[in-house]
Amino acid sequence: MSRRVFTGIKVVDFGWIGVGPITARYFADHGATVIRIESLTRFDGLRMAPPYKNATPGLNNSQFFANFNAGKLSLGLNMARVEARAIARRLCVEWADIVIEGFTPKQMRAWGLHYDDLAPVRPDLIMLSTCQLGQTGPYAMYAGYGNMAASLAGYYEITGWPDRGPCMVYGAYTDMLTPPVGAALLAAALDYRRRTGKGQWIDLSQFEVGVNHIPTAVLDYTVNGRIASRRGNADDRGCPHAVYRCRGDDRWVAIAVFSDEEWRALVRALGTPSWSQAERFATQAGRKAHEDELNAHIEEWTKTQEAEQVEALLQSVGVAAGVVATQSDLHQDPQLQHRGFFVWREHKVMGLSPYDGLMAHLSKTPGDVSPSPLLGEHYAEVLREILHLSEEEIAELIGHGVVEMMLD
Amino acid sequence: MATAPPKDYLLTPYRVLDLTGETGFMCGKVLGDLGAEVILVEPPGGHPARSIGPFYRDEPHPEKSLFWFAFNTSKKGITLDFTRTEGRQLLCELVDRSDIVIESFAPGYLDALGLGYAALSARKPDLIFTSIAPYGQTGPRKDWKGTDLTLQARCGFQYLLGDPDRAPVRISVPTIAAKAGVEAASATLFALFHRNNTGEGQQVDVSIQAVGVWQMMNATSFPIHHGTNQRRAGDRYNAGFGNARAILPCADGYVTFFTAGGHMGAPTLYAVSRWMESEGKLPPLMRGKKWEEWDLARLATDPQAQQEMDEVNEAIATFLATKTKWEIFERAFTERILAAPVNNVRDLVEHPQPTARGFFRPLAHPELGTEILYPGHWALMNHAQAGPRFRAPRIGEHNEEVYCHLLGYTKAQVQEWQQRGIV
Repeated sequence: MSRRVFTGIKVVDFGWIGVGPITARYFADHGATVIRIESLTRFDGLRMAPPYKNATPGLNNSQFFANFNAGKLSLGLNMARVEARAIARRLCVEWADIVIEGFTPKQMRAWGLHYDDLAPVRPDLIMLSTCQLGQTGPYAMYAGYGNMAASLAGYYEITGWPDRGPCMVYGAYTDMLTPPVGAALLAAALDYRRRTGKGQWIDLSQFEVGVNHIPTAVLDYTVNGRIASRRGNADDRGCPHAVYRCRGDDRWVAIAVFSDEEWRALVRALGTPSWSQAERFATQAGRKAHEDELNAHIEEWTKTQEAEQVEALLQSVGVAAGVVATQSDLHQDPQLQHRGFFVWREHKVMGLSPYDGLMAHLSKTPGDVSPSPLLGEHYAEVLREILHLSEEEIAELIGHGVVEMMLD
Repeated sequence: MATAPPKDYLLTPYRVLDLTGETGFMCGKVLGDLGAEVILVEPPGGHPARSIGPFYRDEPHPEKSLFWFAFNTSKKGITLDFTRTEGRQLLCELVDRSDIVIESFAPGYLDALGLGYAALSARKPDLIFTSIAPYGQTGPRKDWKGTDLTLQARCGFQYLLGDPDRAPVRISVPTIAAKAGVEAASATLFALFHRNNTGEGQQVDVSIQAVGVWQMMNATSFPIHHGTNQRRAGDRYNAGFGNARAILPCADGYVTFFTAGGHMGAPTLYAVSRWMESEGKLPPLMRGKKWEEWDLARLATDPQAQQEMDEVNEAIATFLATKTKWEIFERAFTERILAAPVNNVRDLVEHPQPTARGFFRPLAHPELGTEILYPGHWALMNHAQAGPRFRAPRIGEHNEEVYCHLLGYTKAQVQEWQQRGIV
């Protein structure tokens, strides 16, 4: 096995739902030991969220949970119990390099696990606290999922058609944007600690990360007073720039032309139809002024074609085009296959299941994906080998409902 | 009272050579905002991305592109034509003094100039070389063109967005390159951590398509496990928790509301029921409900459950239609209701929470005689800071600093290169 970047780095993951667990997964993929703290009495909502193996709900059967928690050890703790909190504290204080948590800001304080509780004994600890609106400010305690933060950060206002109301952005969009920011900050904080000996408390607002991904729209408002809204698939610079219906059930292709050269290539690929020679389509400004008419002409053609044929033809002449891929398409995608994107791993309950893989390939330390744990699966490994508890102590903790698990 | 000294930045010791274009700017911005010295290399005369709007006061001009401003904060800028021999030599000298190179050219372009990873790593084995490309550096589609629109399509995300009776849509403001840039920055820092432990450099190969797939939350394995594909559903929540309307009109715009029972949604439904009851508007179908038993898992398969969800959803919609965005946000905050206003950019800039956290911050643009308010920090930290440090570079702004002070050439030499169009 090739070396991994974070071999020897220890992470305690108190994450909840999306952001914390995905952030911790980067470290698991790259070789860190990550202990996911969970609970049976208050299980992570994703354990009962679809998709499930064979479409059958079950705490150890959710791919949604599995995907975000691949490669971690799981310890089940009933945090309502003082003994559970003591175990969690020992892991943070005696073992961890990094602690990640994603609750509303009062929760870790209630457990005595806030950074202020841990830093006096572990000044070199690196802790990431992430929530919807940040740890400070009048609305720090606002509780929600990424589908709330995405709305607050402006994403629904700018999704959909100008003549209709806003559309949802699938899922919980800021949950998808925030984890790499957390991972970058943690990696930088590890390096800073190496040089200075200082730990770090990182207060990561999912709303702020969302806004940081659309800075141009923010500047267009703060400078020009312009408020971005819904534009379908239109673009200031591109024309044609749209999604066109193709042959088949709900099949579409996106085409984006940004220059006269690309336009001429598109026209040739279409067989230079007579409509394309009209004077009004000769310049980008002219095409933009007659965009609806132009799109209708192009769709007359695409409607008769397979989406993949349009895509391959246009790419072959240097025009950007992309099939609007279904999820089924992704599993057949030759480029994703070439990159080994979907990684099939044997899960103890789910069997062989596909995990979303790595986005970046590191040539010397590629990292890898391991299956997700069952709820509380690694209690013995953590309690015995890391915390050095005796068999009797472990049995008592389980008997008293402090340590929890669901192993089938 | 003594004022505290300014906090450190995390990446102060490192130098980054940024050769990217519009699909890669975000990577260097993140590294620069975290404190690295980032030197953005433009062709003489300025980078073509300077023509991307919108513009300061809507005046198209290479020094007034808000796109350029937004994605190139905390970077220094030099001009250099490294397609020419002397320029290539200068670039190599800069690489010798850098920790990281980032680039977003078509795969193979830099190799053809003798400036690819193979050549530069032979020169400097501990170099981190990060490449960002639509489909990555290798594979059958490595040479395909990609834009925000076509990549949002090809990664599968776009299929999930938009009204069902029309074409799928993208988010109207491009986001996929921004996300790819952040992913590239995090992967680059992983490689840097490894280098600092072992002395070994490497290439980081980021595929924007693969980054795009990671926007899909739970969708990718539906065909494997359920034999179905998730589909766009307009204003409805379509991630497999039933299919309730998630964007509801309110008195002064829209709000998002998460109608879900079970463990995830019950507290919200109790809280909104109490609110409706307090105004005498709780309909019989919502009375005495045990919301935690309102089973999400049934919704996918049981049409009666979906119908009940729609009825509850409509009752809540009717109630919320009489409230303002701000009333709903305040109530959501105090009662822990899963609801939020559909903010536009003015709403979010004026929101008291980012204001209290100092999130939007002014950067000086002396040439324009003004300050511009930017979205700010990536996070708040106790010992460090991370956010825009200074505005994006003007064309060739740091030529003298880099060529004379860093590389040790004379001003006369730089002027001579300038006359010959190398700088």
